[in-house]
Amino acid sequence: MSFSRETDHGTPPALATGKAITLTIDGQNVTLPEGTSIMRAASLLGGSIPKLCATDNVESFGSCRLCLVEVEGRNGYPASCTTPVAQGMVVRTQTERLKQLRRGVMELYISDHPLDCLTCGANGDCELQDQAGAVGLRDVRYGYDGATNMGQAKDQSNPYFDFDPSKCIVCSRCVRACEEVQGTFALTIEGKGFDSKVSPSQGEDFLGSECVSCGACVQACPTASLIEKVVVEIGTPDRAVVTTCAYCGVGCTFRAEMRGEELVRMVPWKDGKANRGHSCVKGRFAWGYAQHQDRILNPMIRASVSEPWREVSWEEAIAYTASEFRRIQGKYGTRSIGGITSSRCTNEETFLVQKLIRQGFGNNNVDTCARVCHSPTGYGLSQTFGTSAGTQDFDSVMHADVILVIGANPTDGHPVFASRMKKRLRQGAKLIVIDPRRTDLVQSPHITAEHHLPLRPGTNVAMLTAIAHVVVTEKLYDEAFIRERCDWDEFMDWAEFVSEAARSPEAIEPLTGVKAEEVRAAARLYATGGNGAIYYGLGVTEHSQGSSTVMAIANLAMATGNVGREGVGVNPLRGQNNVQGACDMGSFPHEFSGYRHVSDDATRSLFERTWGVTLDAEPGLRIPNMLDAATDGTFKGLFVQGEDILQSDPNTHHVAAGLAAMECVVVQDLFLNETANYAHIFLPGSTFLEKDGTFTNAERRIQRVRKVMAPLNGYADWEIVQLVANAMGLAWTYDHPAQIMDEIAALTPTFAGVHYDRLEAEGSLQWPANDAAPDGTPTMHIDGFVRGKGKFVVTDYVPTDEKTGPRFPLLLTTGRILSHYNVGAQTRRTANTAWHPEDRLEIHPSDADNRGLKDGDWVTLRSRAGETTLRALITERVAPGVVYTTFHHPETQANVITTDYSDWATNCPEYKVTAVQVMASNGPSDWQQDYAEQARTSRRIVPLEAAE
Amino acid sequence: MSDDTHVMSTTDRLIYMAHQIARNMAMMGEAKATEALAEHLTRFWDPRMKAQIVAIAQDQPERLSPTVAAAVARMAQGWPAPDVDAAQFNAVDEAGHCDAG
Repeated sequence: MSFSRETDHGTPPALATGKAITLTIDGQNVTLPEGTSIMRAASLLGGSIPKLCATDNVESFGSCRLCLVEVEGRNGYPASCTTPVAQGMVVRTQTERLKQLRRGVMELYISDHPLDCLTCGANGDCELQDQAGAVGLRDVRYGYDGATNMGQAKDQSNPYFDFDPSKCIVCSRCVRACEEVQGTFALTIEGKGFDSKVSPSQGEDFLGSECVSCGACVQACPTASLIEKVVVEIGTPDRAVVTTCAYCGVGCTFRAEMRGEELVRMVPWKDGKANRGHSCVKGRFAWGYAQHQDRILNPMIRASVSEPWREVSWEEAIAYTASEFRRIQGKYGTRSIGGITSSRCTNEETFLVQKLIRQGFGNNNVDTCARVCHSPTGYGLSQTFGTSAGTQDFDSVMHADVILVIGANPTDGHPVFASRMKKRLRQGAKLIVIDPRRTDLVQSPHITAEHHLPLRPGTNVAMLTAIAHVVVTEKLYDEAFIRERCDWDEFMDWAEFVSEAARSPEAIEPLTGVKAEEVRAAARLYATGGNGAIYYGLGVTEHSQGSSTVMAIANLAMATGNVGREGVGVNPLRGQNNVQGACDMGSFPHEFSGYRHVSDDATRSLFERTWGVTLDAEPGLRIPNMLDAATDGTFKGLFVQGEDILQSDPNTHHVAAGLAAMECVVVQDLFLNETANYAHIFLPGSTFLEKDGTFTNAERRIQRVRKVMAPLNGYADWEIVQLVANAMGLAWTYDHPAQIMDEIAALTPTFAGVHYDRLEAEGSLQWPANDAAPDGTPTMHIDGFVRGKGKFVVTDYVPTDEKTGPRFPLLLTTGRILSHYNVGAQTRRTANTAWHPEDRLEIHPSDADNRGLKDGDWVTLRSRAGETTLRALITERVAPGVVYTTFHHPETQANVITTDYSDWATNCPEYKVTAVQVMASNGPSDWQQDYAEQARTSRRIVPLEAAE
Repeated sequence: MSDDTHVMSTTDRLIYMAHQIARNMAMMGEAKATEALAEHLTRFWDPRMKAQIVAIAQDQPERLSPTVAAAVARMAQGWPAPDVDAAQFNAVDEAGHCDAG
């Protein structure tokens, strides 16, 4: 793609009414949906009415008076952006009078605007400049000697963009984008008349304001008033490539705008079906890690982790990898090695890693980071609905009447989807939040949750069962739906179970700490409020009853008939960009791609015929079981692609012990991550900007990742896996990821219709995409569940074994923050650290008072598993008795604290419930000091030249 | 588990895991729970984990509840795994059993 701006039709599409309007614009007849603006109609005809305050991602405003038109039979000169088309209307967009009026308007704008176009960062990419040309402005009669708004100080506080009020034309596009697109309401127009100016929050600078740096204002700005610092530094781009973000599971598509091989900026793509032209601070701005000096670009090996790394050639590193794995298998057996696929890598890459393990290693010891996040979703939704996936697309939320968010904090974890959700809530949908913390969704500008159920961590199943109790005992269930779509006998068993008095809101109030009446009211709203949609996150899955909670959610949706159409459903908000895809691709140790068990003879035969080997019919080890087996001495080698288990997985001591017990740990990553401290071979990875492939987002949408620059390390990740495979004797011959996708399609029924040419033509496809659903499947289970009849599963509340007591009286729950992503390996290497330079411990004022703690004090956080130190953040966001922290910084290592307890069905760790004590601290823990020294020693590198 | 440590041996962990699964299946009733647990172990546990829990059932039967013991016995009936080369363990230091690649 060469560089051209995306077309801006000026105003958004009209809401569908089904009625068409025919009119004439500049002599051309056109028929359009009712409600379309004249401006948009003219644009769709190929014209362009001059405009400044209008842009098609926000509602029309009618302030700039540049888009005036003449309409036959009407007096005056209406603004085309605010005037809807009407039947038989005759419009003229260019007349002598209009030209005169527009020039007059433009003169006023330019009389208060710096004339520094040649040195301006937006030169060549400025709508004011363009429109001055479009209206034929040649002179400013007022001169420049009068009062102006020029010469005002720039606000350069934001690390990614500058605000120059001197160049602001007060069109309010930024203010409206912040309100309508992002939903943060951080910007306003301060003052009146000539003194009007854009202001973040209450006259603060951008960095100190409520601004979340999503970039919507920068994108909306028609001048250089809000402009990316990098554009100022580099200049305007000369080409653009559409690709998919490598951060969260929303899967935003962006135009990577380039100059040569240099990335100038990432701009959200308006045609992206997941993000609809919006972005967050991570995807929009936090891509600097791709060129960070910490990136490792040469392969490295060492015989022991106590030695420094030795840079070697790719040939030596690959040969050493293969020989070590074969040596270990020869000594300890076929099942003594395994690997971990990455949810940050592409579908094609994860498919190849699991293929390497199944075909090359000869076992099923493959797992993925979904083990520690959404594996209970796979189990729970497979049991109840028949497949491991969310039921809706993101657009569906715009049809929801009641939105139930449980164990998710989308404004931080899935910000672009959260903006859609907030838009729907501002339109009037009701909100129920079930979360121990008072997340931003509970109370934010123009949004107040109807019900916030701040339950005690670990009581999700009791809470959902109590809601089900109300639904059943008050006969709020959808009997017709259940009889038609579900197993009625199983429903009756479940209904009898949930109806028991012991499961009523009143009975469980002492467990959850939530008032029974509030639970009853929330249950009634969800069951009777119209389309009810459930969105959930890791606050559901990362518990000892994670799978039970997923099934309890599915039960509730089926009981109320909220499955199988737009606006309803069960929607897991996936954490990483390709966690859905990694699971789809057969990254779990018990199943092939498409969620087919390895013991299934027909499926295994299909793979055996294609790959030409006998495959293991026994499930392999999960990540925690790999570590157990390592400490037992039966698991000796691990291939880890794009995953940092030492920082992300629970009970760091146990992970470290497992890694230390292995004879060969291979890490393929961008950076020397924490796991690499225990590695013997390091294979440098490539970023999403450096390779082709696909990601699958939380709505099952498969989207292209496109290479925009050559891999700095020399190879795309899929090429590196192929080199390892071939060194181990496999004869892989892939030239391009498209061939890998063809193999996936041939082996996986739900992907049978997914090929690169289809993706190019359609933009994206949501699986299942096959003969039965050639265009993909936006909404699942429309006519029936994948498993046939929906299955109600009785989910008894079994309390976690992680108990508070005198020594550990508080409950710790962990999570993430908007500016950082997962273990922070990427975002810590960007300016996002301006917002979150360290992990902090949120603690309620009463708990802080009891311990004599002040905000910012260093505290020791101790559990049965370990201890660490970090600074306190005193806040009422957490309830008394609950503390919270993030896990983005290795200096903190929050997972030193978390325990080995895990979900009963999947071993997904119980990150969300750890009994802890908090006390004032004198400094870093012994473990932190030891670890810092070990990490420093482990990262020594002998360069290639010196090693030779 | 004591208040002092959070480190389990693999044996303890497997016993804990089996009982945790059983507790979450208890509402099914004894017979169904036994079948479901046996199936769960068969479908999700790696052969060495299966072998270890079978050994525990033989050597330390007092550590397994009746439901878990019955499920392990039930699982063992349908196991060992299909006899394919790739599923075999090698003895330590015994090379040559790997058919991969």
